[in-house]
Amino acid sequence: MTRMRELILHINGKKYASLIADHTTLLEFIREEGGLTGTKRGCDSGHCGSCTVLLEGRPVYSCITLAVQAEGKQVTTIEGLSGEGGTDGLHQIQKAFIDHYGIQCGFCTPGMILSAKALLEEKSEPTPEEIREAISGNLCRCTGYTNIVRSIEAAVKERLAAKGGGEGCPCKR
Amino acid sequence: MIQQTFTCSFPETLSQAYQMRREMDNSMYLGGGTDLVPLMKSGVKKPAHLIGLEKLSELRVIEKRDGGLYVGAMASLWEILRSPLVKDAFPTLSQACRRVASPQIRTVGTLGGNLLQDRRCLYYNQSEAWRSSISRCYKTGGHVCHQAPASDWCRGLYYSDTAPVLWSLGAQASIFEDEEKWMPVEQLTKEHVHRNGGVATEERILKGFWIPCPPENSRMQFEKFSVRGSLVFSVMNLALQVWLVEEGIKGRIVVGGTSPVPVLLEETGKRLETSARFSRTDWQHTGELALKELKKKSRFIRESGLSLQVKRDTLQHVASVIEGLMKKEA
Amino acid sequence: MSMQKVVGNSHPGRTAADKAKGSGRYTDDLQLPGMVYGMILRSPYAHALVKSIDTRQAENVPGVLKILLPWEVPSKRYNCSGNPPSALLMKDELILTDHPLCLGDRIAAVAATSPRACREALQKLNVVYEKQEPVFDVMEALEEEAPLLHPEMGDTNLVKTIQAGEGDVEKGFEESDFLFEEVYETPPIQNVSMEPNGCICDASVPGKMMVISTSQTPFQERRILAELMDLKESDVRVIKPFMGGGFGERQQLHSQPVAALLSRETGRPVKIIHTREEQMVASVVRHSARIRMKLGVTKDGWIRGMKIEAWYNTGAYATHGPIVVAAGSRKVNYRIPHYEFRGHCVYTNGPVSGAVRGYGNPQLTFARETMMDTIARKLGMDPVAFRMKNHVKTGDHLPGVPYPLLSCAVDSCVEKGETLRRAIDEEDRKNSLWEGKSSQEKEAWGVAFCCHTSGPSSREGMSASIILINDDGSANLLIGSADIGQGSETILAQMAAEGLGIRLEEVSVTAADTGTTPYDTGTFASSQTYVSGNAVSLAVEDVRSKVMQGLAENMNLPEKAIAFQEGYFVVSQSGETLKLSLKEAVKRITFGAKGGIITGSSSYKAQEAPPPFAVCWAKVAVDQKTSSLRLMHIIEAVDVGNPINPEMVKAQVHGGVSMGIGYALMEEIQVDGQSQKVISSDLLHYQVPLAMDMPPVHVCLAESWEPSGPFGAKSVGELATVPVAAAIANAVAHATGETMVKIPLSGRFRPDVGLGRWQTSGKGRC
Repeated sequence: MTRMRELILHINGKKYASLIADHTTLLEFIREEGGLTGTKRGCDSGHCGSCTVLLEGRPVYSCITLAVQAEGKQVTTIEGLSGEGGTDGLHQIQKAFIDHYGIQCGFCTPGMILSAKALLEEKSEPTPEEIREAISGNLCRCTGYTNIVRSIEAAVKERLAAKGGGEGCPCKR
Repeated sequence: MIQQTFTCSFPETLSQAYQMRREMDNSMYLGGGTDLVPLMKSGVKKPAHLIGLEKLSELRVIEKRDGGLYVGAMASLWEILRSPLVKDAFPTLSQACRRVASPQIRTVGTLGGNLLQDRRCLYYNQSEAWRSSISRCYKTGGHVCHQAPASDWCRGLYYSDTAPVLWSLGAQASIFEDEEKWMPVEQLTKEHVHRNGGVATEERILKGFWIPCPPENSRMQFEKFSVRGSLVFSVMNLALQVWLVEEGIKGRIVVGGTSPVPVLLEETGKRLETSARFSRTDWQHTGELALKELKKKSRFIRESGLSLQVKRDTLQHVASVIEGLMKKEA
Repeated sequence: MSMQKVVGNSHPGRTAADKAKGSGRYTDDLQLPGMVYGMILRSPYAHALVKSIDTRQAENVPGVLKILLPWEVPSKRYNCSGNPPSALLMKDELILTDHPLCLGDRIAAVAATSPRACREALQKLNVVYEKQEPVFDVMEALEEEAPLLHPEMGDTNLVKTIQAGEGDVEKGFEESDFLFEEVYETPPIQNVSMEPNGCICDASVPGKMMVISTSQTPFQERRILAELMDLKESDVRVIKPFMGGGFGERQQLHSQPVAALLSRETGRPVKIIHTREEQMVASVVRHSARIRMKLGVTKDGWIRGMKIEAWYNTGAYATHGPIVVAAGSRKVNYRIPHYEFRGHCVYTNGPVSGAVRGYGNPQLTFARETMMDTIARKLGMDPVAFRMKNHVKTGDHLPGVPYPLLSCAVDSCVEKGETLRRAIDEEDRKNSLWEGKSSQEKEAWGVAFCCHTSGPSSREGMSASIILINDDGSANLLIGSADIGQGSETILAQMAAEGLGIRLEEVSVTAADTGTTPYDTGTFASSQTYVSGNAVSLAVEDVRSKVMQGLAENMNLPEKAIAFQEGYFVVSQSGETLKLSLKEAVKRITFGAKGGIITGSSSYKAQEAPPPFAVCWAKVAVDQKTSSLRLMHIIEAVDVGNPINPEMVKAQVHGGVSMGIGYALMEEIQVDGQSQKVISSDLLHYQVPLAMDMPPVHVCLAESWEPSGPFGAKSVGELATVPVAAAIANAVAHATGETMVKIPLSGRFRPDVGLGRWQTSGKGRC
């Protein structure tokens, strides 16, 4: 019989406990144990980026990460982003993807947005080259990436403006 | 989905890890897993036990040590590429880490794992179902290489982007085998590549690398030529470290991705040692020599994508790099 | 049309927020009570006979509910194509077969309580194969001694030869001063939708079937499944949930028939989701083609004749084959008095081909536009001027298609694109002076023109729509057409909102569910905006006339006293006018003394299939010594009529261009000669462009109006992909002086992303 273990993972600030076998991938844990289906299975071998989640704030392919490797670390999925720092229950990056036509079929979108988030946490003013590099592990077949890069640029501007308003100019508060 | 069932443990000391590996049949070490997990999914690796190394904090260290820099084998490519220590001392290592695969792979992929990565081949990197209609090759427990049926060894290519850099920098590898041993990265790579042409797996633990401070006035360069800008293996990569001596240029030029083991351009290196008095024509000849040497030592195989002719043409870059090198130093 | 409020303005899409939040539910995100999983055993050989299957070990795997073998399925053959019924759709496919004709052909299937149990059972099925000789090359497949793939269809591997044309091509050549002849080759490529194909079939209620699937053509899927399962169409309900791309891929049934049988056998809903490997080796590819083209021109640059003989590799099954061939023949965008087309659709043991964005057009456009450049060079003419001289105009017809064009704004495409091109060159010159450049690279531009279609070029497009007006004046639009990620639901809702004078947010859409929406031929042939759009426009008219009728009755006025103007129902009554919004009008009608519920409906059958036009420019830098090729810019200017949602149109062009770049540079499903197997089995062995691989892409929209289109619109979906490969190949030809007759160009060049500038050599400080 396959040996099972109880694994507790911290996903989006909540604890999820499940009895799993060690061969369970992080993607399987998130989707099947956690019921969080925003993380997509596109290739199941680390070649497409649809399954991208953040592990301690950095992007990983959850399909080639073992669930046990995520133990004790903070996992962020797309569901954990909604409502964070934006309006209408949307994160600024999500809002920018919507407003700047960075979304078509939507299957790569969660992974793409999380890759963008990791970049923006790292660099407040990334260059267009750095934006492309940050999403270079995420395949999109619909958009040709142009509007995705634009969306991320817009999110950067939005964040800078929000910051500037908050710190420098009391009139904007 | 990983069909194979296995257990996974995360020991907290080196000797524990080593002991487990020795005692448990069919066990393997797990670094970041970005190379191993996909191989388990396609059923070419079927370990019964995985021994995760991530709790061994001494394997994650990046620090100055004994006139050089020490980089732990479990340091992630992401940690290395953004480490100011690495960037300052060895920009080529930083650059090579940045060109590996994608941000997602770099988050968890480690330097040790990149060096000890599996060799690839279009007959090997296929699912179990796909492979069911062809015979087993050297790497899957059989006695043939589908790339070259007459070959008595595996011709799969070794694509590490960091191995040529570590060679070029004269790095030493620290190996744990009940006790710590040191060997040149060159030797470690060759041993790995040899073993990796079959089904045997490594028992020793790669602890880390010590890279000696570059000589005064040294120059380093890293180039990766590939089909895409990311998530891709090199058609050819090139790393060099050279420094000026009285008669010319001294150092190492290493090319990866073109054969099962990286190619050290020795003859070219020798020629460069007397390059101080070279004319423009000599520069060109030296570039041609480098190309000739590389062509002789390269062992291309069939892959999907580029044609063999284009891969051969890609080697031409070595000539411009070498010429450029002499121009810059002149 | 400045009076328009919703149409002509961009809107990011009704479902964009769901997608951004990860709350959109795709097939694999859905579970049904009691659901189990299915998996298919696929042939590891390109051609074999199954001698026996021993199931004993597999049956013992815990969780296994049913193992389905080839001799247990209905023996009727079917065609998986989601096209409306046609004599050209050969029925040559079995649900499971003991005579696999390609790698990935379906042999057996299993249903079990988990995907893991399914996989284990498949691994434990002991199948004995007898390997047969395969044939992969179309020309070899036509030779007499070639293995015959479908003896039940006839005594040849030729599926069908399609002929088209007009005039007398030999006469055209006689009238010509120069004749050009060349053979071109284009590869099979995969759609690579990000979401793998999948379905859930539920036949647990006897006599009924519910299917949730990745489908571009739910109504065709219903028809095929009903036929295969001996059910009435009314008892089969097909629902398309959120879908991660399509590009033609889901215009074929994939695993639905297997899941349907497994569900019937187990009495449980069965979910089958393809692995990426199944996507790569066992879902349809673009037909590879070998095209012999001959063109005759006069010395002053008039094309007099064009003769094409082409061989299309349809793989192991015909699917759409002959229709793809025919469709390609109808998309020549030049005035050519004498045109002859002969296209042969041929069986081989290669990957099964079917619908892929462009549907037969990218192949011929690559050949034609490459040849057009060769001719322009020979005549010493500018490549754009030579094409414009011969280009069709409004009132002309496409060669072989006897219908006059109602719109063609190619001149606007050229004007906008050329202006942009000059600006780019100016900018590049400035930057290169600034940076300095490697002397080995040669830069050049290439151009290609094309047209495509709005709805099937056979004019078979059909759609219907129902609009339910709610008592608060909002509207529910019911439409059969499938949004596959391109945004058609938004476009159609915009049309409804505009036509009813309400806001976009006041229109809700129910689409692509055969249980609740009316018939639509399906999402293919760039039909949605034009075909389904016309259906929506007609339903809107029906609503408006019913509202006017209702108002007239309600207010005791003759109907002619009421008109619909600028979004309002305008009532003229004894010299006074009263403007009523839909909401106000409906309130009067629905809750008036007489009462009444407003619903509008329509049925639309296409009378036209107006071609949209595109012009694409590519700028490349080629280093011949190292055989590297760098894309610098792509410009694409499109005439799509009046754009309903301009930003979405541009977004479609961006995506189409990236697919065209992959086709030009690096994509090819390859068969290895030694193992006789498809080796492009994953997204590393088969590479498609990623973000860093894309050059700057510039899109222009021409000023245009299509009289037969809803709000003047034509289509865009497939168009953008079509001219890209030829534009890039022509740019390479200009840079190297060597004509490119074969794609992908990775046979000749290594695509280079230009990361060289990152790799500054450095000096270490320790």
